[in-house]
Amino acid sequence: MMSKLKFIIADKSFLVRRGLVCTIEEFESFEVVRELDNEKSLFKAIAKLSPDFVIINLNFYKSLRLKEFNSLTKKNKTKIIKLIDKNKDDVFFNETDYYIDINDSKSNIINQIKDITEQFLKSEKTSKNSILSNREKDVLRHIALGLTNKEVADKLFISIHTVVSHRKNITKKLDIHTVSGLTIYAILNKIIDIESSKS
Amino acid sequence: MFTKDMKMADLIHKNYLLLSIISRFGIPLGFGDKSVEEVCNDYKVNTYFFLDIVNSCSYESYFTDVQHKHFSIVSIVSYLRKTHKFYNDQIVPEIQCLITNLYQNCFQQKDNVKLLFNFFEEYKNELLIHIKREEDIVYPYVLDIEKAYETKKISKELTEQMKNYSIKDYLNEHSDIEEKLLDLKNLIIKYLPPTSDFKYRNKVLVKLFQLEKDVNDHSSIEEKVMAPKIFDMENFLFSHFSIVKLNIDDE
Repeated sequence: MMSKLKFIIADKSFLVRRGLVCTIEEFESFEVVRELDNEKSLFKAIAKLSPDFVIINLNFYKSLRLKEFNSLTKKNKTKIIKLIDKNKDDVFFNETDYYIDINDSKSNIINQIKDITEQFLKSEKTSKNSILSNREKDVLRHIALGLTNKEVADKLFISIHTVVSHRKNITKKLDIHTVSGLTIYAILNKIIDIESSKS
Repeated sequence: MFTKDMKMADLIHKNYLLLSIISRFGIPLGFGDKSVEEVCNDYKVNTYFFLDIVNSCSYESYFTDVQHKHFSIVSIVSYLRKTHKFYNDQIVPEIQCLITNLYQNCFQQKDNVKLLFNFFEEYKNELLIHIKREEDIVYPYVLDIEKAYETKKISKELTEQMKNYSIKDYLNEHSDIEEKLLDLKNLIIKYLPPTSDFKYRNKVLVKLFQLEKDVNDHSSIEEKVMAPKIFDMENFLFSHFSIVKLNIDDE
């Protein structure tokens, strides 16, 4: 049996919070573990409950001490879903950002939440499989030898974007974050040899 | 949470990692049944500051809950400097020594252990640069700010400095030096193939965990206690002496 995905709802408005709680709790596999309206309880709740998602009002989000908030959510593997108002908020989103538009219809909002959580579950699955694909090994070999993303891209005839996404996956799978760490991993696993790493 | 009326000895029973922190305050063991406050008074340590440090190292959300008003930047900086000294003089050499022992006690994997040793050296150098920057630039700056704030007098040099560099810049550039440490732990736990030696491999890891925790606690004192205090004092000085910051924040 899978455990429920945990949500925290952060918004200044009581009515908005209640609306979100009801919507989220329509899903059997979701659970709202806390709703709150201020920074202090938000930080505390994330540290204590390490939820899978925080749904947070964009303006509230902007008012936070972001550096700390981001490192806290990173540490607790909490994903941030921003609650925006497309009519008012003038925002430009990265593809990687998750958001819900407050003006959307019920079915749109539900689909949006489904999409987000499915992506999340998929990424959980892949990260559990820590064996590198052959292509990832190729990329790792070049990174370990000290090539830049651009150089790796040219060598393997792929776009920089692809190199970056391979790197992200490698780091995620191995839980090794620095280039020198990756180099040692590559040597330990005979992806490169010590002699070539020195050049 | 620890309070001033608890027995000092009980703090250590609850969290033995406080041992090195208590020594940093210059408090030796052997305090019998004295309370935290009594021991702090004996050694002229500010009890509130002491409690803030030991609590923050023991309870993760401590700094988000509490106001810190009872102690000065002078005492914070003096503690932070002692922490740096602990890294330089004690835990870093200990880890180097343990990795060397691991190397000497391994029959296989010698070359690989050597790699890890070099990797730790790289980390050490990063740490030293980080420490040096704080000792040479950041700490003198925050001490000057506190002095100016208290005396309501500001030197020309400090005025100039404030125009170019404030504590906000420090927070922005305050770099993560923990990544390498995390990598080293994973390399030893997951990726270095089995070694004939267990003893030193485990000991290295335990020390790395200790160092990592200490470095994290150290940064959170800087970011959550020192920086906010300085931020308020700076704001006062900016308006009191009508100083205008040169670079424009793009917030």
